[in-house]
Amino acid sequence: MRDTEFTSTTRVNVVAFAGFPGHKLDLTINRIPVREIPDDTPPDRGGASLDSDIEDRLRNLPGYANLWHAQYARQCLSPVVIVGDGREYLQNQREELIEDVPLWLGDEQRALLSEDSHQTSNPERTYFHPFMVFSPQVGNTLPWLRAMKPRLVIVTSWSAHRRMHPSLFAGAPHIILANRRVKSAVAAADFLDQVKARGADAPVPTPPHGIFVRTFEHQVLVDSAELSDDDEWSDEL
Amino acid sequence: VTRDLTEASRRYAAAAAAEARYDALEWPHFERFLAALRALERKADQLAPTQPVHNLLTRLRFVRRILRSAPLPANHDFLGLDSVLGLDSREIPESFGAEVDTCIAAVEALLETPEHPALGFLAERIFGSPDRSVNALVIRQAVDPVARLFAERGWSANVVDLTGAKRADLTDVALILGSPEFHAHWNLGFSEAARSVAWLLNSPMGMTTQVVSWPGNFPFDPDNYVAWTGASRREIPVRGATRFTVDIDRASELDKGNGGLPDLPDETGGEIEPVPATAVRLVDSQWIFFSDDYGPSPYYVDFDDFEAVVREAKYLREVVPGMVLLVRDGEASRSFLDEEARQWILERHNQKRYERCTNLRAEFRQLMRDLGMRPDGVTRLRNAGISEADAQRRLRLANDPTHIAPQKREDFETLCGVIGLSCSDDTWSDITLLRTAARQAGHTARKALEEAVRADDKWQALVDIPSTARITIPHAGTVALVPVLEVLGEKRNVPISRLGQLETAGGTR
Repeated sequence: MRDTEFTSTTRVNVVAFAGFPGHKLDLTINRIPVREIPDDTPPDRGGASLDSDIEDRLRNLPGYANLWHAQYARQCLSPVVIVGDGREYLQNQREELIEDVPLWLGDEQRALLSEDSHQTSNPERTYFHPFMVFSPQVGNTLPWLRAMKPRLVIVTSWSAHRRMHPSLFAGAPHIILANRRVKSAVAAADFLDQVKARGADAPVPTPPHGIFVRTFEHQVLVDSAELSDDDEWSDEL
Repeated sequence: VTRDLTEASRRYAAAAAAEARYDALEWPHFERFLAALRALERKADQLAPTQPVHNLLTRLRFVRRILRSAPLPANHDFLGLDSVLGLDSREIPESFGAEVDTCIAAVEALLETPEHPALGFLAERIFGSPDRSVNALVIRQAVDPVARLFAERGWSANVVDLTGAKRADLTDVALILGSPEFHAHWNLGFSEAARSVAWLLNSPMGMTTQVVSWPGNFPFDPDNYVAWTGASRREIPVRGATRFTVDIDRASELDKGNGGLPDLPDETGGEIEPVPATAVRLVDSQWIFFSDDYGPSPYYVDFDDFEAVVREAKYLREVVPGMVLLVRDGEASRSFLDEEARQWILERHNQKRYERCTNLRAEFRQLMRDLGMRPDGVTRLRNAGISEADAQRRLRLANDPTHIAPQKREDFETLCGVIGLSCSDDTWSDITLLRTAARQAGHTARKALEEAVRADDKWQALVDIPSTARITIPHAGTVALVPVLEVLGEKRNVPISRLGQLETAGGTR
């Protein structure tokens, strides 16, 4: 995985690398997993290679075989992000999940979750790994990170959600885990009373095991200190 | 607490399928005691109570607090009700005579048949089946005596306070003794209190939750204990009364003290102009003053999911009623910080460098103080391009024991120019080193505080009342943990040396 600059060409389905005149790939574009990175993303974020063990495991997965690079890259470019306190604890939980309840995960998820590069909490490595684990404050000084769009953001507590920059990963669906036994549960309940529930026709999951679910829409500020109210937009969480 | 997926799964299963029951018991003698105490409190609201009456009130309120929420016999040593019977009636003023006599008669009646009604209920309904595991929730103050009593009666139960309940492994039975709201923070209104402990019924600590209530408890309404509006709640079969005759106002249990703002004499004899500071009313008739511009920042105890943490309030607006402030004895605190800072510098440099730094700071502060004594002190600073307000602030800061020097080099150089102190790269480097060492010392001090508050949580029972607790930290003196009752909106002029110090209404520490 690496950041690359592209330029447009006049030929259909051809991609040219900027800085390498004449270097063109005659490929169907959708076979190359690419994702636009936000303005001001650090210019040299390095690259990431995969552990050979995980590479082998991916190769052997159905549908991966010779396309494993592309399949893996698609996962990295659309990562699942965990936001919460105690990143080490969260990383330990990942290991516990793989070891203790392997049946909860498919082969692909197990392989992807096994990646332990010690870089999955480094914001500069976002889009280089299939999952990232961040603290709630991670986006406070990194506007480019806030503009990235993970596939899913899982926030491990309501208080962590309240401490996140209001536009961090705006546009990505969020799951917020609220612990009923902590103080912030009251704040969560108040918030849920105030926000608009999703439309009556939207299905609300009713999981078993005493888990209560509420889905809602939430106003998210577009990321700029100079915004006027007109620039607000609604985003589904 | 067991933190594995099996226990997690059991907890969620309990939240989905657990049963809950409510039983209210009768206890006429305690009801009579509550009515008598209430009459005495009303009288004490009208007439200032004398010390013996005040002492009696304190004891009876303590007994009420415990017996409302813990199944102890009224003659239990922990309650000390016998001492009330030994009261010398000659010490009681006539104006309180009738109410005190009624209270004493009620205590006598209570002691004649001292068994708490909850004990019979528990023997029959809960501990009759010895194989069942039990978590029993009582208020923090009563955890130890209740655990001992249960053990004496051969009852096996994990007796916990609210914090313990959050961590407790799931059991067959979760006992909630007294109103769930007794376990909420004292600063919350009833509705908020109910919501804050709603998890006891919607994310319970046992497969069957049994609420046991009796006179003195708050009204019980199952609808108060849902996770949020619209979340499902199970039926809670109710037996007995859900409301009792004597309704006790939670706020009446707060002793706000009778002292007004303390009188703070200026120990410098008027040499230093006082600074505007915010007065914070604390429990036990104590006060503390803080300023965003001068003196130390407030430290307070907070809780993350499971542990106490010590935080610094960067701005006074963060200080709110209900917060527990950590206040160290001023001198011990300062010497501890100075010593930590010294060690930090010595580990990296040497004694000579340390002395150079401290001498520089002392010289700078002395020259600034000298400037402040001159009638044209402010004018000189203004002539150097400093605004009047900033000039005043700089001169005052020279008397602030926590202050080192301006944060910005250009500001420091300007001041040095006025007071005639040479400012080289080395000078600024010394100031920076001293500031870094002070910051590190502050960090170490905060960690030491955190370790101390985690090492022994007995203080929690006292601040829950709310009242003042004290803990001792090795090499750093005593720390008071004091709940905040009120933050006054209007500022007072306070000598800079008194900022961040505990004060009582009489102006003494």
